Amino acid sequence: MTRTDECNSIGELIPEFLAGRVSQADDRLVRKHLETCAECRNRANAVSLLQQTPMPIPDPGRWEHFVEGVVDATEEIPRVSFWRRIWEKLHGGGESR
Amino acid sequence: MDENALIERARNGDREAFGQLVRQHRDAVYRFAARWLADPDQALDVAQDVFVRAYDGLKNYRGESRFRTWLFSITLNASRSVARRQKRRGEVRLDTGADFPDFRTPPDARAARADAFARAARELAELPEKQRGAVTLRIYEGLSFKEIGEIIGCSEGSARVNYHHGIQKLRETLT
Repeated sequence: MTRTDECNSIGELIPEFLAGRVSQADDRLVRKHLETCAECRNRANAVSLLQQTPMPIPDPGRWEHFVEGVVDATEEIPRVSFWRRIWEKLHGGGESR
Repeated sequence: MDENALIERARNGDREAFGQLVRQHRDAVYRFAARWLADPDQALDVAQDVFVRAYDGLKNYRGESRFRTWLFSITLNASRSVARRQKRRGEVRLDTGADFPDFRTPPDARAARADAFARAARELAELPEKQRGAVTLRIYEGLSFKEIGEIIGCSEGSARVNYHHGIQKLRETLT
């Protein structure tokens, strides 16, 4: 069976369909199409497998301190613009952060 | 406090407000990097780098796209840099989380499932960058093709094409 516009439309709905996040009307539409289109069933199986693949788990120690680590790292970043810093340097303006 | 107010405060140097933004978006940023790179350690490094870059670049964020979409663009760029650096060094790392314990499934079936998951993550990680971005953002984050286009740097139509081509390749290798 060749790929049709309907296959493309259904293909775009598959991730939401598998996650149970489509309307009843779309749910019926997708089910009906999958009953008759083996290609789209295979595509749906591939998406389903990917969706079920466990998420790589981050190191718990690093994850726990993630926000603090980021906020600490931003301490070095000046909030005053480059041109403002130049202006202040040239004109002896206030202390730049 | 709503997101726009937090962004404005963070832009003016309020690091506590920025910390709240990090808390709100860290899961999504990590998730995208981890799926894209298939490596939790690298994904964590990328996620950290993304937020530091975001803080530095807040002055350039005009609110034309959702804040999360903007963060995903930075995530994709940072992930690409890591992947290219790794490729230049000739390293291949793939931690798919396939050893995630699943005590409800019998051992043989568990091993088969772990193999299938590892293979799925590997095939996804081997897609061309734009296809991988489109597939990852669509199937895990549920983003619209317009947003996906903004992130991977193409039109909405081209984002659709990249998604369909990616899914077609995965269908050929995984089923």
